[in-house]
Amino acid sequence: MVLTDLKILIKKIGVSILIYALPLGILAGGLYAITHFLTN
Amino acid sequence: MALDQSLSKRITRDALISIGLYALPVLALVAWFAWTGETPWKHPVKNYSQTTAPAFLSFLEPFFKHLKSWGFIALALALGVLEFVLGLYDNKWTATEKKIDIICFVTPKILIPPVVGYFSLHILPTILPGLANVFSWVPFWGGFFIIAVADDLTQYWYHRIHHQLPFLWRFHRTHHSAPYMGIAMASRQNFIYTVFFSQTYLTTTLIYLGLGYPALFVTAIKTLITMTAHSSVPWDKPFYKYRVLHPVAWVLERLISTPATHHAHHADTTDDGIGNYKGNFGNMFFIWDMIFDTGIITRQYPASYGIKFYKEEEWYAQFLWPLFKSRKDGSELAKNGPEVGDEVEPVSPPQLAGAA
Repeated sequence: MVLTDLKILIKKIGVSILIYALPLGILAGGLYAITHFLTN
Repeated sequence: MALDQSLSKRITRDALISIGLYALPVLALVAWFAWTGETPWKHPVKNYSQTTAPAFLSFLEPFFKHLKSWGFIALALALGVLEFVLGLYDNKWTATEKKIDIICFVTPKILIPPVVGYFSLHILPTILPGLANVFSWVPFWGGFFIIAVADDLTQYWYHRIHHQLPFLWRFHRTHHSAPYMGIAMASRQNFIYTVFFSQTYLTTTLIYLGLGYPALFVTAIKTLITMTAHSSVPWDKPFYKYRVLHPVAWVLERLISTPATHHAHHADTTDDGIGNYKGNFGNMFFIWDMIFDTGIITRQYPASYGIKFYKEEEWYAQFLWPLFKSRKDGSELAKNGPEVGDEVEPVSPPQLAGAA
């Protein structure tokens, strides 16, 4: 039972991290790219 | 409980569309800088407190600053009192519901700030060293749209998958278990759902990277919209009643969550054509539901709220499952309880015939 709960918790935290990291990667990556590729 | 294959395909398709949506504000910035020739990143503002909002918004700053601290609690209490005075809880606020609503409202306000504080003051400087305020050159309007999309689209996804992935449903069930609607619903959540709220940490990270000032405005607007969408005070009704306001209603109900669209999400059935607990996932913006075709707009309010499999589980099980389990027989939150998901019992053919 404890193992089942632990598995659910780990999966839940994993999903939370994925939903956090994907948009952060897109946004931070995009803003970082602006500073390197847009120069006048 | 296996995930339906067509649903799995829809989630994948919508996730790919979301990548484009997240990138939109950044692409808008690229277009703006290419057009104007501005290069603000060459002379970055080192401290985001030096940035300012456009003049027409600056008068709102003190209000928004306080809303984030004591203002939210004051607003929630004021709305709560109004709901009571209007008798909108009827007789459904039982001792169990009272306990859950109050504990869910108070506890996260004490326990979440230290967690988020530790994340921003210790974890972020460790994993992203030297990057504090690196994006403080982003203009106010750019930061505003970046935070608005990042925070709310992330919350849309976090919310949606807790409905659509059966193994996550029980972390979100507490938010839907009450047989009534009210301001208390906005904070009525399982603690683990709240502590791992992805968008809290995403917005905190973007603040660390330099978008703190626009975040102040977005968070305040979002708080107002989500709180009033959960409230039993139907502020949107006049927009549906008076013909002259119909064009405003048309835009409002597609742009942001209203009591009508969000109450539909808390309905205990979809049989009446009003309830849409399998959709209307938007929190601040409703446009995500429009884009991903998960929204239904009826301008009506459901007759009843809650979930079919509710067994009035103990407050500790609803607040802290799976750490604490319910003792109620057959409960989803009990030891070895069934994984029901947000399904309701299918309507049998005779009932359908009767309804017709």
